[in-house]
Amino acid sequence: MRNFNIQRIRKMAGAIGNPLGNKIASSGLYILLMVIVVGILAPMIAPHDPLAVNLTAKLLPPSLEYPLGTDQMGRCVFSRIISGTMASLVMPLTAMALILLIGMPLGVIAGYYGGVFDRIIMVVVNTMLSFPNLLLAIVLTGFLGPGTLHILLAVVAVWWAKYTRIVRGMTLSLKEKPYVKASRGCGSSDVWLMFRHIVPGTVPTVLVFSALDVGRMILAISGLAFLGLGVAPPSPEWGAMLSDGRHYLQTAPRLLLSPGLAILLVMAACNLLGEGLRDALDVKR
Amino acid sequence: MNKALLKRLIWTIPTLLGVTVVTFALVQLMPGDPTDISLRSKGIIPDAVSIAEIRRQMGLDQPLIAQYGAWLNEIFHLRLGLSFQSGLPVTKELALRLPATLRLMGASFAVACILAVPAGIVSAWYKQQHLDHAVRFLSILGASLPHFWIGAMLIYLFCIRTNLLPMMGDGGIMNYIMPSITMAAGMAAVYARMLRAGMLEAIADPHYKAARARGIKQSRLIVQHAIRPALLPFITVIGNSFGYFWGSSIIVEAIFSWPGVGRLMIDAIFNRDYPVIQAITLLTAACVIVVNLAVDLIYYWLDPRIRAEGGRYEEL
Repeated sequence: MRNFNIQRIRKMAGAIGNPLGNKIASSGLYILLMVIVVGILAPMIAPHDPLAVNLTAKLLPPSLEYPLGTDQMGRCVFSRIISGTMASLVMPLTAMALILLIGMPLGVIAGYYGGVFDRIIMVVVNTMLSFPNLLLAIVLTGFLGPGTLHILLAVVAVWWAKYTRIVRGMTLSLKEKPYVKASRGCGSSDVWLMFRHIVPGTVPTVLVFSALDVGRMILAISGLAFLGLGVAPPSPEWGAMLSDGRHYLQTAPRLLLSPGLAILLVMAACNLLGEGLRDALDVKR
Repeated sequence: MNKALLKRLIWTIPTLLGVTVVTFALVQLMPGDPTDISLRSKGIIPDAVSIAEIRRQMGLDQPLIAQYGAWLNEIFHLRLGLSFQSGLPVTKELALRLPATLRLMGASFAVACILAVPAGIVSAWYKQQHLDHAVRFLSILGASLPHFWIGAMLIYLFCIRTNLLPMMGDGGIMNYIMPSITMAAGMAAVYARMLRAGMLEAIADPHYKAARARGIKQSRLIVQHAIRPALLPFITVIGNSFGYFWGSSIIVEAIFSWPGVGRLMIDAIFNRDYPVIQAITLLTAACVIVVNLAVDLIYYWLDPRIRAEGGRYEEL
């Protein structure tokens, strides 16, 4: 009977219900996981082929066969939404990974060494941060032309500077901490100090901002799609669906409603995760 | 004048120069030959002679650095070139469109404040109670809605279903309602959150407890000792939201056919009208830099602690 301990069970249940120690963050995490599972299982769940055109069944209202109706080409909207999940999520997540890969090392090195390199990096960062994200992303994709790779490039080019600035600012204060100085006194190398002692200290803050920014990226990418600068149809993607749907606002507003709600769900999950983590990890700013 | 503030002012110059370099480089990135676009926009079929001629006219036969120098000189004298599309000077086009965008931004800012200030105060005052939860839920919702989606839904509800509001363009005050709500929704959420956090910080501060112990009237306590200190960091957020409003005006103006700079920008991008794109990009970045500088100066003026320590500019 040793394992049958009501307190232990309660604790385990708590860990499952609230893995991040903050209910808001945990609910965001669960929504995101749920969306990802649906995205992975999409080929099995989808009642119809998301690309199958059926012009005899166009713009149908929701029914048992088509839970969210059909679009202007008779494709099943429900199938398209769940099949578009991965396309809509993978791009911002990849972009975020690239941004951290570029932004964090630059920030740590600039903050740690200071000097001329720091000055140059900060001028570049301040320059990039002077352009509103959306404006620069629109100009870049406008010039490069639509396409997944170009959008990815534009998003990374626009967002990396923010992380360099955040990480640099934190490095400046972290490198003066007693434990870093103690490690230096023990003869640790610069690289060890930076990546063993300083980078981990920046992780909570970076985590909060990246959760919030993945959401903002989804928003920006769908905004680009709305302006006609997005991923080329017919591959299902939420932003592109919204962009197609806007021509049917008068006759079939549900074509806008459903991808919008999908974006809202993921955005809300990212915001819950970010805001919850901000409270839980006590990140300021 | 404080040394840190002087440093802050001086470091604005390389940033401004950096902005011109990026704007110049953007056009170099553009696929397609600008001479070709320029000639075609004037209705001339490009051939070898006319291309060589226009290349010389536009200074494209010069090395890149000389081109940049010449362009910088033009910018410095506020000569932003001629629009390929309309043939008018870009400065004139901008002057024509700018007021509409600024009015829309002003209206959106007002809407965001009207929504956020009471919400933030209530949320902080009733911390962890139902009202606070409701405000926080609404603010996460507001920050999660795509602009064009809010816009499209508003158009559907108030124009298509009920015909209560005018759908497009810049006319009377009714025309401002939908675009400004669309633009303000995301920012209102940020404002409310900042105000709540600032007030909670002020309430946790010893000076607040001291004021309460002195027995100050509650209304005065809230306004003077909880809201007032929370307004200072608010200025930074307002500065930051300038860039956000400017960026989102591109999408909002596209939805509501608002005759502002955002629409000019979109038209320019689709027509590869690069003098216009260049001018708007440059103007935007310059405005953002000036606004941020103004925010820092206001801070300097308002907060005696900064005047003493110069702490805020240490990062530079």
